[in-house]
Amino acid sequence: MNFLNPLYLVAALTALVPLIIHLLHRQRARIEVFPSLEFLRRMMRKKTRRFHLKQILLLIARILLLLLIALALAGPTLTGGRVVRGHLPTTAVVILDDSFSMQRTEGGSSLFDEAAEKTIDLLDYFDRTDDVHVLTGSYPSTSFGASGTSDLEGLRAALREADCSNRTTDMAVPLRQALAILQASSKPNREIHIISDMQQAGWEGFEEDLDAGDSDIKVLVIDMGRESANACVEDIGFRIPAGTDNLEMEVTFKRFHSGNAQGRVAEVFVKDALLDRAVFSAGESSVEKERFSLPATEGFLWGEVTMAEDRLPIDDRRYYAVPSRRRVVGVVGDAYYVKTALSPEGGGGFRPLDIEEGSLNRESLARADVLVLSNVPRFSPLEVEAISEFVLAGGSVLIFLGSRVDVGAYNRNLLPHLGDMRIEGASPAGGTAFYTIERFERGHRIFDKFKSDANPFADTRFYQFMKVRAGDGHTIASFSDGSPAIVEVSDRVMVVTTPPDVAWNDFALTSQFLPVLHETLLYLSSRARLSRSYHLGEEILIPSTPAEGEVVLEGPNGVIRHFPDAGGRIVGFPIRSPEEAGIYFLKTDRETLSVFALNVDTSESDLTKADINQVKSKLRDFDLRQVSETDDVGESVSMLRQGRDLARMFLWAALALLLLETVLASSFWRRFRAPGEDDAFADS
Amino acid sequence: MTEDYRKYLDPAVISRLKGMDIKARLVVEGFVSGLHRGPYKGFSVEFAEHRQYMPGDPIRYLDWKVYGKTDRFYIKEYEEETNLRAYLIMDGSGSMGYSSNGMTKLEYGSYLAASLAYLMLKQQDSVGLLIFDTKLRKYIPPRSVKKHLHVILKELSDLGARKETDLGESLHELAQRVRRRGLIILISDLLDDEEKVIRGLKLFRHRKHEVIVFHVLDPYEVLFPFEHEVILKDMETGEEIPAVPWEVRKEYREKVSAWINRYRTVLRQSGIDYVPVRTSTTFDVALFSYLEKRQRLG
Repeated sequence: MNFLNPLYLVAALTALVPLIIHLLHRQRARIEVFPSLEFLRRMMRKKTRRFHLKQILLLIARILLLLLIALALAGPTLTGGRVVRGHLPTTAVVILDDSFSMQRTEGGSSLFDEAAEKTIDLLDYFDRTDDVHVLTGSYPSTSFGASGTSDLEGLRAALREADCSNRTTDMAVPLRQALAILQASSKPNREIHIISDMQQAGWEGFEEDLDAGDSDIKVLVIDMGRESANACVEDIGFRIPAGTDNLEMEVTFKRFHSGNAQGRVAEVFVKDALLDRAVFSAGESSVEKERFSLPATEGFLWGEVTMAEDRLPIDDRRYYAVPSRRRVVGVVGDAYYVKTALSPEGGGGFRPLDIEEGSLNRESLARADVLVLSNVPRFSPLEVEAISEFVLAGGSVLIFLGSRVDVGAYNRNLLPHLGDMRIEGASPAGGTAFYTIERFERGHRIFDKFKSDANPFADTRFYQFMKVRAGDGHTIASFSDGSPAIVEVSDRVMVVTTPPDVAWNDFALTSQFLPVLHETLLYLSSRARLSRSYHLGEEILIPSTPAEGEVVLEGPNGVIRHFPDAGGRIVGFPIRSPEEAGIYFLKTDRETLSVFALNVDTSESDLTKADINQVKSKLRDFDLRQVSETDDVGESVSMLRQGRDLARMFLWAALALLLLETVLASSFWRRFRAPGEDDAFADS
Repeated sequence: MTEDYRKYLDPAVISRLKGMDIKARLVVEGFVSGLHRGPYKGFSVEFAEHRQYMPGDPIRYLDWKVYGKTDRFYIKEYEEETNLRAYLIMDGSGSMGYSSNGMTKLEYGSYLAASLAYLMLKQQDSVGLLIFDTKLRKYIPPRSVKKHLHVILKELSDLGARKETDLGESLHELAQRVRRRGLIILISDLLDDEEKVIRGLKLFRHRKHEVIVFHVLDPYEVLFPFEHEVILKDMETGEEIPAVPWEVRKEYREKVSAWINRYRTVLRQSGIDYVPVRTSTTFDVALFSYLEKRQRLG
């Protein structure tokens, strides 16, 4: 048994009080002469013995009562381990939250610095018999120092050098890692220590509660955080307004919780030059959007949007990078009407790129933003690989199905790489019979021009189409028999089940064709890589034009990575996100291949604290204790290890003793009452 | 203003007075003044005076002649004329020296004996005094002359409690000594072997004596009202035992009560008047008991 507040044991001295009173009371017994002891002699021996026994019992009850109260105050705990600061051999996983919300400053130093100090303090409660792992709480979780080490000094040194990351928290990942480590451990004592600001966002990654099985794992949560207000630049979006070639930037400012949100100035920079200013005045938990027009230029546009810094400055700045040129549309196959619609005369800011059938490859796709596959019969494996990489690298694909399509080849080779859709075959040719588009998703962006029209496609005749099973895809327009006409297979792939071919329909001849095609391509390209921005911590594939010679990745702090010469064949560079937010350039000696922005994930900007009860319910298999940053680490660890709190049990025992004392004492007082008359004598 | 002598029936008042003769006289005067309206008045054959009939008066003393003449009931009162020999037997053992309220049992018994002597001599009876502890300590033969009272009172005022008790043996000795039939008045706390005491008292009855026993006890002996743990020391033997009064009080009282009841039952069965008194009991209780007995004796 250990005591959390051993100073209270001094109160145990009060147990001497009943003893002293007892001894003093005994000494005060008076001698009284009495005429005859005849009646008393026999009974007194028995009664006195019983009385003294009761007296001793009462004395013991009183002493124990005071002792138990003193012990309860001292915080007794029961453990199977060693006493006081000792512990059983332990495997411990310390999860140190290094997400960017820990960068906020509270009283001069950042939460992370305080958390790292706490972690160093925590290491004092381990020794050479223990295995200690220190994991980061941000995603992806990594280790501080050597993993599973008893080299505590090494861990301390690593922690002293540690910096807070710019990533987000996902406690589910390090907790699962911790669980795996502890379940594999043979040490009798297993602990998880979480040192975090306990942001709600960090606990939302649990798809299911963590199952500890039969493992007896103790969890100590050291809550470092205080809920506070915060504002951020949440998002930067781009669009090309219809009928113009200019980019328009839409900046979203967001504020979490109360606080003075008035008059915070936001500034937009383009390539380090101030473009515009705005005053962000969003109130509590609200969003404000501001639009800025970007200048027409060639190549890439990049820059940043900043707002006056608060206590968490990292999310007050957001970077952007966007290709300023017209969207390039690669067109393959039987696509006369498509090419015509995309010609300079057609407008809409597109630059068609004619790609011959059979010559689809990484190089031909490198310059395209959107690829249109119009009634292409089939694709070679290399072509399928190139299309897959193109989509993976941020490109979009619009597929027209038609008479030339090899259904089997599509179903086997191409479609599985793009989504869950399958082609079932062509609809029967009905001679003069035709279908119309009866139902379409009026609110969809591609039908933006027809919002007010009753049914612009009512007179458009569709004689034949390919029957498809949309699978996970989303049907946004259907023929009169209910078959899908336009399917959004994924956010970057769209399929039209009939081609721009007058043999199958007269759609290409109608006035609706051009606006629907333009809006579809704008929609796909805007969802593609118009805005080249990624979150820190992501695994990303940077699209690029073919490159000759060595390619380097250059960030805010200079060149951070060299890629070997790919001989002009590389289209996407897989990169594990650097730690630093900012503008990154993928370049060779001669040209800039790609520009992209890395930003923090603003889901971390919401500093709302997690409900500890929900955390406990997610970790209900664990013996979890939560303490605050102000609590002493040693006491917290002792409490965790020494387990069962005996104070309440002691208080119950004290209460039982109090009842016993009351019963014994009342029996004394009952006999001690004032004497009454003796009946036999009075009767005389 | 006439003094109310009845206050002198209270032992607490009497204990504050000096002089045994004063005490005895005041007790008896107090008692007699209370009797003026009561049924106890004279047992003599010589007419003294008439007084108005009061409810409770025996009708045999009604003067029918006066009634015939006046239509009023009058009682004839007589001067006493007696040859009753009374023996006051006083227990002078150590236990009689116990007091919880300022008056020892011995003092109470002495005042009672003095009062009885005063009353009896006033009524022309012969009174003697015997004092004993383990054995007969003093014997004053009964006489009826008034100056005999001073002899008895002097002995009583000089009386001090001492030694242990051997009441049974003493009663045997006394029974041998008292040969002429008379009234035996025993004043004692009876703290001795119960059987021997009863045998001794029966012996008096066997010798045709009338017997009254005034069983004098202190209230503490009966109620045992000690409030704190005490060490009790026997007055006669000096033996000490620790006592927890509240633990034994109930049982003690039961035992004392049973002890008294046994005396009461056995003695009454033997034709002995048994009068338990406490040192807080007013003297009229004892005097009434005597008068009742005296009345029965005629």
